[in-house]
Amino acid sequence: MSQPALVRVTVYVAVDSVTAFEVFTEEIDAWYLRGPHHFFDPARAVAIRFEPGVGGRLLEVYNEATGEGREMARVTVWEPGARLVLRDTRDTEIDVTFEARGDETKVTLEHRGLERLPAAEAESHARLGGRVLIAWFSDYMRERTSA
Amino acid sequence: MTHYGGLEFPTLCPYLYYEDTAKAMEFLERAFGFRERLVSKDDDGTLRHVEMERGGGVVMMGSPSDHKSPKRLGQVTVGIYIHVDDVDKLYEQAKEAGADLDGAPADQAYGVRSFGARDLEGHQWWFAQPLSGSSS
Repeated sequence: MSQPALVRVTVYVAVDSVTAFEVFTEEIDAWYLRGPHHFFDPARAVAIRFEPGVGGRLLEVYNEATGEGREMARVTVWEPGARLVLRDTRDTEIDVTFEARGDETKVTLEHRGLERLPAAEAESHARLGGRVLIAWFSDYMRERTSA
Repeated sequence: MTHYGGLEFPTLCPYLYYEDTAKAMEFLERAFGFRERLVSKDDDGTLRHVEMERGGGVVMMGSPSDHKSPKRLGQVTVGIYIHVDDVDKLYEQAKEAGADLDGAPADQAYGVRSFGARDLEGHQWWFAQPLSGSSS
């Protein structure tokens, strides 16, 4: 069975939308799970971080002192508290929106362009780029707000 | 519970077929308080698979080709039974949203206060709150 072209996952976190955006971007190194399949070069990766603003990179960091690393994705939309869009190195797009819902924030991650990937890669790419990524963020937020 | 692909699933997840899944999603949110958690689409925009959740329960949804709804068939063959925390409030919400209601919430001899309703394609739902307190 072919893979879907788009996967959208929604979670609710118990903070305001500005905080949710800040945690998603500024604290990604705290919630992005280390693992052999989660970096281009897991042996060298020491951190992951966003360069804020449009044109900034999502960077797999190899050297904290020099800033050397490898680009994982490029920021195309940066609207603190509202929306973040990334285009990754496989030319798929990750669109994250943050919407206030009472005391919570609805965080929706839409991963588009999966039809451009070879079928054998689409499932694993969609899983890491969408479902797993937002699950890690959601789990971290739950621990962070209950601490 | 079962966990895979970044998501947690109850052991039992009803898979509901709709003629128009997009409309059903909107209705289940507005009338019954469900929240979207997963959507996948084909490259022409067709909905492929949907998951909505409510209070830890998950329903999967989709639109098989040539599917006929219970409303079109004139026959309901299965019902979905959900435990909730505020059955009277949900009843008002469902009524406001235009759900086809069986009647107002009523105390049942087996220990719940409940009401029945059918969604926009005729699927049968029941919502029940334990008379002793919380559903959780």
